[in-house]
Amino acid sequence: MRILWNNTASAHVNKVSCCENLWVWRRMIRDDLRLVGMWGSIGGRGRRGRGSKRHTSVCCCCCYCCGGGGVLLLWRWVWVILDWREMTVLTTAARLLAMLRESHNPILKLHALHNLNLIVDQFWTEISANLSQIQRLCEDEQYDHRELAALVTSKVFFHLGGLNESLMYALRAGSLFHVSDNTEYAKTLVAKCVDEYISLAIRGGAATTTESSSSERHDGIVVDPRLVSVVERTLDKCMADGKFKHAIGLALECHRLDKVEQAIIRSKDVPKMLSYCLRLLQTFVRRKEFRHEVLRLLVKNYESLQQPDYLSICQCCMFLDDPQTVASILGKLLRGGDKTDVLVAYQVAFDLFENENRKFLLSVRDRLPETSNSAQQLVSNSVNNAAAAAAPPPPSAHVIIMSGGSEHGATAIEAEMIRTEEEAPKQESHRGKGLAAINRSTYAQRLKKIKGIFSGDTPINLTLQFLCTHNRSNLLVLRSIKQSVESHNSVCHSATIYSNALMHAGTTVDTFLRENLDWLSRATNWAKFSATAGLGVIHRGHLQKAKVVLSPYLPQQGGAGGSGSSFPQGGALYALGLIHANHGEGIRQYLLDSLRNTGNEVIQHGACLGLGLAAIGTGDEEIIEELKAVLYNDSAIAGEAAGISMGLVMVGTPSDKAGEMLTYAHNTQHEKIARGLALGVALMLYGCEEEADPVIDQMTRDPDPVLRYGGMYAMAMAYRGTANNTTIRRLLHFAVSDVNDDVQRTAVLALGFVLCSEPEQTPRIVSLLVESYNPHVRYGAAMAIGISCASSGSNKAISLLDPLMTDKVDFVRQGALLGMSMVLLQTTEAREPQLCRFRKQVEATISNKQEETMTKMGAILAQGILNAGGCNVGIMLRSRTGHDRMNAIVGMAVFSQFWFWYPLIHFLSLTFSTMAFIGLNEDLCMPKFEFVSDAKPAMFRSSPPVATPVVSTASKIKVPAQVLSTSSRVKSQGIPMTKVSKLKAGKTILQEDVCLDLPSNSKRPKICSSLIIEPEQPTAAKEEEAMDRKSQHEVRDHQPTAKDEEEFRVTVREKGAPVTQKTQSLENLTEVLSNPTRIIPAQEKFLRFQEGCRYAPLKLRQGLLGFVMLNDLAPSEPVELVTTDAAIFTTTPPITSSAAGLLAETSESPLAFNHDSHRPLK
Amino acid sequence: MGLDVEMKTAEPAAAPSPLIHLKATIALIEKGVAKKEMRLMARAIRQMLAVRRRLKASTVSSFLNYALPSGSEALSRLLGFVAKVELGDASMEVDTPPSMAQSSQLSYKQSVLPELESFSYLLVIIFLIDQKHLEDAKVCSSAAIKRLQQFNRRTLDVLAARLYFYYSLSYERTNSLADIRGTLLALHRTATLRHDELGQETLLNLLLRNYLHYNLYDQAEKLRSKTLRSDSHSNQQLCRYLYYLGKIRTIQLEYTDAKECLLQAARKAPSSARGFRIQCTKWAAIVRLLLGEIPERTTFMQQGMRKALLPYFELTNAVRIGDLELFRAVADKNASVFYADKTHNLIVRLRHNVIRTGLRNISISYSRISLRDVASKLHLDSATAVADAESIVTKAIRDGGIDASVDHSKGWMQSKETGDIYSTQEPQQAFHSRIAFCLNTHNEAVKALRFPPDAHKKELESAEKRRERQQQELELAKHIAEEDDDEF
Repeated sequence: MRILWNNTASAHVNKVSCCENLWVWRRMIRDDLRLVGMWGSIGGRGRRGRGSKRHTSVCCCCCYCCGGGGVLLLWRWVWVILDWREMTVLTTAARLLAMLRESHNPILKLHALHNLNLIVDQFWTEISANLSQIQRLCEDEQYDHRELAALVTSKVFFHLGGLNESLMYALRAGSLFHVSDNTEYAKTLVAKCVDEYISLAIRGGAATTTESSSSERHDGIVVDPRLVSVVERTLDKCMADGKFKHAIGLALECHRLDKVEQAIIRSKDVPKMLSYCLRLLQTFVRRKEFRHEVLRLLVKNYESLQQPDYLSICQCCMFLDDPQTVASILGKLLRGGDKTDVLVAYQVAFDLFENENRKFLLSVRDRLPETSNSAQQLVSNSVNNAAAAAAPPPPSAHVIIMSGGSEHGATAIEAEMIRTEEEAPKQESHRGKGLAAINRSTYAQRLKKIKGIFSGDTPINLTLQFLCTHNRSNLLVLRSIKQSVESHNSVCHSATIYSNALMHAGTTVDTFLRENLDWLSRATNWAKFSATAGLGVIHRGHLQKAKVVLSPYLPQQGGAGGSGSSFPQGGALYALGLIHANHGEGIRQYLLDSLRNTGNEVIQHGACLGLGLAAIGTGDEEIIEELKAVLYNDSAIAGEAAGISMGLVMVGTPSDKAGEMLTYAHNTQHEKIARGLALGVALMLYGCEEEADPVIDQMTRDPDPVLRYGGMYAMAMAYRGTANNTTIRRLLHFAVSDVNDDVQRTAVLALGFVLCSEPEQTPRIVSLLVESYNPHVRYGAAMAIGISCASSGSNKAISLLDPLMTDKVDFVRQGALLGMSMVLLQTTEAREPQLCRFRKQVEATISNKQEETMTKMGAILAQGILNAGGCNVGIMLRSRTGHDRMNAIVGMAVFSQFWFWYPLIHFLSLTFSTMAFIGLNEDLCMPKFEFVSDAKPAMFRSSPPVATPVVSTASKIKVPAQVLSTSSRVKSQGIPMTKVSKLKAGKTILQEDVCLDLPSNSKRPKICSSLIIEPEQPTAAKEEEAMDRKSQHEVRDHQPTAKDEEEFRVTVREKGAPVTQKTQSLENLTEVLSNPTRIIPAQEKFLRFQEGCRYAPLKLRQGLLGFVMLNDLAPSEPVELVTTDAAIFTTTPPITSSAAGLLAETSESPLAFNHDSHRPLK
Repeated sequence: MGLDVEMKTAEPAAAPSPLIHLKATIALIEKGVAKKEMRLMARAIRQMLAVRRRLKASTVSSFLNYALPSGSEALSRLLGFVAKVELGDASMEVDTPPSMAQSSQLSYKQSVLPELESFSYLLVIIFLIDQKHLEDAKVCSSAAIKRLQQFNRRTLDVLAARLYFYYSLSYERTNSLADIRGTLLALHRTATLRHDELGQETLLNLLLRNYLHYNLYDQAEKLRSKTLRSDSHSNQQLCRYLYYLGKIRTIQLEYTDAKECLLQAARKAPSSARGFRIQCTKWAAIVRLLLGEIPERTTFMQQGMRKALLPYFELTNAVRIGDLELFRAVADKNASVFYADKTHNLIVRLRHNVIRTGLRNISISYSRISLRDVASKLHLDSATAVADAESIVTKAIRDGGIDASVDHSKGWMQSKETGDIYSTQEPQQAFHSRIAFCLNTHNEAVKALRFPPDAHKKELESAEKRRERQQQELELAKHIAEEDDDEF
């Protein structure tokens, strides 16, 4: 019987499947009995777990009589031994599908479902036709096996490519959907699940992550608990497999704090995980609130470590804006007896200072315990050695103080330091009695020091000291620029002055200005304003002498007296601001008074900018009110500055003032004021990210292009360094679709700010814009690359900028030159061969008479940027720890406004960050010691002096010859190379060679001056004559010169070959550096402290750039400190009054160049 | 379905030694991987196929030794297969690969690119198929597919698609296509998830072929309609797809679609793919006959196809004349050919068309004819011949086959005057469709053009050139100005 049935069934099956003309067949036999044969089996295998062993299987055949309408059902119970799959190769799932239609027999349905689940991968096409049936099954609340139905449905949807539906049904399948399956289906769906969850978590806003219940509520969006459970299962699996980094990443993306914490705690290397998490947080977590929550979590976990990482904790606290915690941590560290703790505290302070969050720094300082009381006590307690304490530092002291002279802070520190040292032995003797008091006194000193760091006095002083002593800028460069630009071209003239300012930023070297007073006096009106302001850049951070230096120009109290012209006066006030940028408590009142006392709009302009710089980010209400008063005068010049300054003062603190400013921007007739205000609003939105969106929307939708332009800046500022995709998309949209060139240009430029955290992305994103038809967009692209890839020397950036340097349009070339100089800043020729070519190109552009003015100006500025800060600074928009430097970004934003207003070029100095290793001991002094850099010196040496083309031929031969002969002489002295000190001596000689302007060098200045003074004859006629002669000379002598030089080199090489080679091979490998030294970030990893070195850097630090606290391993030995050249601090008398007069009192000639109208032609 | 179509352009073998030729492909593949350039992969395969006929076992094994790191699993396995061929049928039972010992002596090379490994597999499989070692080819290709599944590299796509094809081919030759249907489906799914469009296309075609091999037209149609198809990446795969689609449509009685597909497939196929084009032409001819059209005589007289198409030519003649007797005779005579071509069932469907063609001839010849005469002319020899004739005529009228009317009461058929076709829209439409076709072809050709990247950048003029040009312009302007002055 059984066999019979099998035969008939298979006969039918064969008939159905083999008939290729199914359609025809169907038509023709419509009246026939249509047979759908099926048979199958239901094993009891599905429920093996329950132990029921049903061997009953069902074999059934259902024959539907279509024509008659009646249903003929034949049931046959047969024992089926074989599994149905083994009997035949299956060609269709129609039989199983037909079984589903069985409304009476749930067993059949279950059987069908069960088998469909097994074969779905092969027959999904067929099943999909009948999907609605299965869907109905899983929606049927009464049906017991709807989970199985859901699973089948999910699989079919997966095959059909409907992942969303598939996921929905997979979730319904509950436990039947195995997360850990190794099938493509499971893997894909789990990935989909996680994606879905992440998108929900992000959309849901504030995630209530601490909630432990499985269902979470995100502001009205209810996340499917099953989805949550799948994600949790995945996370748990990650952790179980030991992939904690994956787990942390996933949990962060899913906004699951609890899981982040769990992953961190369960991992074996907690500190590593914490730092990994912190890094992820900075790069990937976009939402501010969530970032703060994670930061809080991190702080908690850091604190629970055995050795808390205070540096990281304090960084986190800074982001959380929690000065109280930092203050208490620092207080604890300082109070402790352990010297290392104190060093850590100092290090924390320095690191926080580097992030330039002024408001936070000040509030930490104010929260630290007061020193005055304890200082009083200290004095009273140590009456017995009061004499020593009160006396000025004895000249014979072995401590060589940096000769700040009148510097109050430094003196006090030194005095106290000496006092402690003298106290030390006494402390031993009067142990019992004096212990508490002494402790208190040391505590007070420490507090004072740390406050010095927080207020900025100490780091600014140290930086200034470093920049002064290590200045390696080359005046020859400037002289050659000066000679090659036509004197009547005021743009190039002032560009040279700007270039000088940038080149000597923070070095206090104003030699160039001093030497060329006559030439300088050609500056008129606003050029004079910015020339004076340039002094501020040069003396940046020179807090004590600021007013002295600027005294000839500052407006006298009581009106517009003083030196008469208002331009230098305004410039001087601006300069004061530049000197005190981000550190303006001392000068604030003075600037305020100056602003109040004047009605002159130029002076107001300077004072406003100065105030803005000095009070950057403080949100000082009084200043804002004062600025607002200036603004409402509706004077174009003063109003613009007031607008910008309001933004500067309120950087990062959005308030309703933004609306007020925008309203005024609408009302005013002056485009300049509107632009100033727009930029001001943009600055206010700094770092606000999503919070800023309403204001950004308002600005970008404005019909006024000036405000849209501000809107671009607003996006740049609000999303600085976030690489936020939405913002990038919006900016790109504006870059190509706005009707206004300024807006387009700024939109591209803003990309540079948004992407400054991921410089490697920028070239890719702007690569198409670089080829835009619109020169404004090209310019913007060049600047964007410059901004985001600053000081990176990135290859891609260079290759993109390269074609722009020969662009058709002059201002695009300008942008390319500027961008390129920013990118190549602080790279060396050894690492980036392009640098050499670029330098040559810049020089050629400057000296090319046919070159357009705009390009020339760009080249002159580029020269300044390349040699910025005496070759010791780089443009860093992010601090070493990867946080945004607020001042730098703000400075860069205002700098990029120079398109409209040249004096704003000086803002570039805010972005400069000293590239140095400055090691400090417990007393915050620089001890003398040496360490090693395991790299070729050439790799990181700052660029050699440029052989300027204008310098006459004689020097052309001699300059390289001198260097070579000196070096070979030094090297051939047969120095025993083991003695490091001597090698160093040799090196300094080399360096002196390099610095042509060092007065100590005996030979060089003579040659130089004899060569250079010649063209500086006072009368223009003579100068021209000289120039002509020289150029003739040059043309004639050029060829042989080069040849001579080559020959000379060859001979030198041959002569000194054996020795030189030997020394070189030694020098090639390593280089010995002494304490404060120039280091670029790429060099950090080569640095090494030798065995037996007295000092060791704090272990907690990752890098060696910036201020590094040193652990003194031999505290008992006398400390030798680095001597600083006293001359720099003392010999900066103000430029003599007559000279000042030259600069200040020149009559305003009709030729006077009006800055107002120098926008580039279109 | 004895259709073995390998559409490849046979390149003239210029290289002296196949081994040198093969070694050159390695460089090509490595370059392709480095540049992520799919075309280079395709070129490597083409180069390999060019020397395919000249491959010897020794060549293949020395290539393998050169390309694969010694001691690697792939090398030993592949060498084993090649060695079997080398030993010949006589010593088939020797299973241990003799080259194992020799390969272990060689120094261990660095790990090999998955692309290169796949390429080696492909070479060996093709070699085995050519040498008729089909069982080995089956084993080898299965191993290759298993290995492929471990990678997820887009650079592998081209090679993978080829491997899938030969995998399927080796199973088809051994008549076990049904075994790999599941694997192919899984591979297709994977390809879809990874957006491997070439693989998707290839696998879909293989699946269709697989289903059609077993006459599972229903399944094939379901699969085809349920899968998403993007723009085609390979002309070959598109041709195949159209061919399979045409067959499915024919079975589904959708002749118009089927005709379009089949003709397009025949048109798009490269001229070297003769077998494929013959098959397409056969099917297209039948479909056209089924549609009531008569294919041109030239269709059957194409060079190199005449003999293969002869039965279909005879058939067409029968249908053209509308002679049922002749039709029956031709069908019986060529039954074996039609069975082999799997077109027999379609031929059966043709009978109806023969009748209709006869009817059309009658309607053209007679302006009025009695239904009885129609029945006798059509050789309708059933009992109710007149009624049958009437139903056939009315159906033909309804279908638009003939332009006539039936007078039931008087028992005749009245033909209508043939109108002037040029007074209708038809010629216009015909022109329109031709123009549309040309434009479409042009657009596709433009789309397929490739430009070397960054070629336009060279055109930017250098700074010196610009200055020179500006100088010239300036001079020119001055010159013109002077001339202007002269005139006054």
